[in-house]
Amino acid sequence: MKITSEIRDGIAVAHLSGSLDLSAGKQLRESVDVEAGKVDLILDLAQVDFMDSAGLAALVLVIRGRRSAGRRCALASPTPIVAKILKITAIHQLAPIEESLDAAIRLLKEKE
Amino acid sequence: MRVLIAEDDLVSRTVLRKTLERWGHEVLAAPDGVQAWAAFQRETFPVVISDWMMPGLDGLELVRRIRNYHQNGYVYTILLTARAQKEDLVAGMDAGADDFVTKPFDAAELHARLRAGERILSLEHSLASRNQQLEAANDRMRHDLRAAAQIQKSLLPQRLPEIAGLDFAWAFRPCDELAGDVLNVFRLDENHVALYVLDVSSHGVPAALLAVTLSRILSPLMHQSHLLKQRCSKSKRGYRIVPPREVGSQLNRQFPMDPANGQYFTLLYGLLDLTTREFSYVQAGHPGPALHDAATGRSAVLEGSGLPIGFVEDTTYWEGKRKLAVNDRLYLYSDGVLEACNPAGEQFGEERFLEAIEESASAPLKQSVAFVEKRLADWCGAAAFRDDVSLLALQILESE
Repeated sequence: MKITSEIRDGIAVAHLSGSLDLSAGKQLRESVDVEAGKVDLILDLAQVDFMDSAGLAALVLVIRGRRSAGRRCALASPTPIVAKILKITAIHQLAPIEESLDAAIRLLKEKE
Repeated sequence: MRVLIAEDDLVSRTVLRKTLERWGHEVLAAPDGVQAWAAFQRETFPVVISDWMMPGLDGLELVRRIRNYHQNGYVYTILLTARAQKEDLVAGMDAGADDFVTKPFDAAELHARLRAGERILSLEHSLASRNQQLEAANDRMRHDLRAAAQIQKSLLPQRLPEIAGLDFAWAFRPCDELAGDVLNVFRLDENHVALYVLDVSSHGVPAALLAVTLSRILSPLMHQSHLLKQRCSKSKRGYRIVPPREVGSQLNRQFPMDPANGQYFTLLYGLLDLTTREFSYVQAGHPGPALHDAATGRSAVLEGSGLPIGFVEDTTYWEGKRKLAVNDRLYLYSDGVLEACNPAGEQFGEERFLEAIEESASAPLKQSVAFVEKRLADWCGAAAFRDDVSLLALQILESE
């Protein structure tokens, strides 16, 4: 899995690409933990073409970590296969899921 | 070391034998290839030094036979040769010779080449013994896994409950020896049947251990208060049947996800009230039940969603309810059914799953489950199952 990060409008954005599985999950948790933990975070899932149970766990742990630090987290543009898993597992109860990165940024800005 | 010499020239043979014996080797010196081959088959020699040119059976053929002969441990072979042309060396190596010494041999050179052989033999020996240890450890682990798999199998419904007006069937196919899926169906009291399918994240021993624990917790203990049926002095019966959404929240409290390993599970737990035929269920990160509606002949996945067990503290679960009619069928299943891929990587998916249910609707329930399972296996073809596959079905029968 490839993870690239940037700051947009004061929000950390992590672009994920590839398969979100056990090893990618570890990578995600490490890279995002190191990222400025003090800002809100958007995980851009547009390039994630596969996610298994371990990948989902990593995603949830990252969201939980951000929430317990008093920050917010949003998920952006999941592919249909990932969107389906997010829906069955009700992840929207933990973090809003937006269809585009811009919409996710707007959402986090609005709530500020 | 035991060394076998094959050399037809008496003088060379004697010099070679004496030299090797002086170096402390135990030597058997054969006067030709045929006798050397006979000695080799009879006894064990880690090193063979053979002349190349011999009447009858030459050194090249002797080496070839040694290489094709099945034995324990490696045999280091050295060819003695008067020729040193390149193509001869290639032919010798092709036959399987490890090294060459030109005749008349130089003692220091032979000594050095033998020591190289000894090093290789001792490496080979320690590799073989390490392999043996690994194999033994591997056997032990395989044996343990098989025993664990046997225990797990014993937790699957041995016998389906016999309840007037209801039929049940199930299928279970673990993708490894140990499974992370569990399913069960049982009676809680005269009016309630409980059924569930759960799926522990990841595979292998950790998943299987949690799966076994859960199947104990979610089991019908007749004379004891437990998660599904609690003692209650206020109730006329002396107990209360715990509603599915409460079962979900309680499990969620009891099994928080460990951030270290990220282990959690998804669950579909349902309760059928036999007096009202109402099916109530909780869906914790698990795909919803598929209902085959006998009146319309159509199948659909019932609405609903919920967080997997252990994701978030104090989760309250939504509870789905659905009244069933005569001949309606319900299928509970794990995501391994929908996500099973064909060799091209395409998932079986909800549509094909529902189609298989509809197509087998006129067959008895057991055959329908077998039909769905067969469809799934055909879909996967040569592709291996990447996840456990569980399927548990019930049908409301016409009352007599």
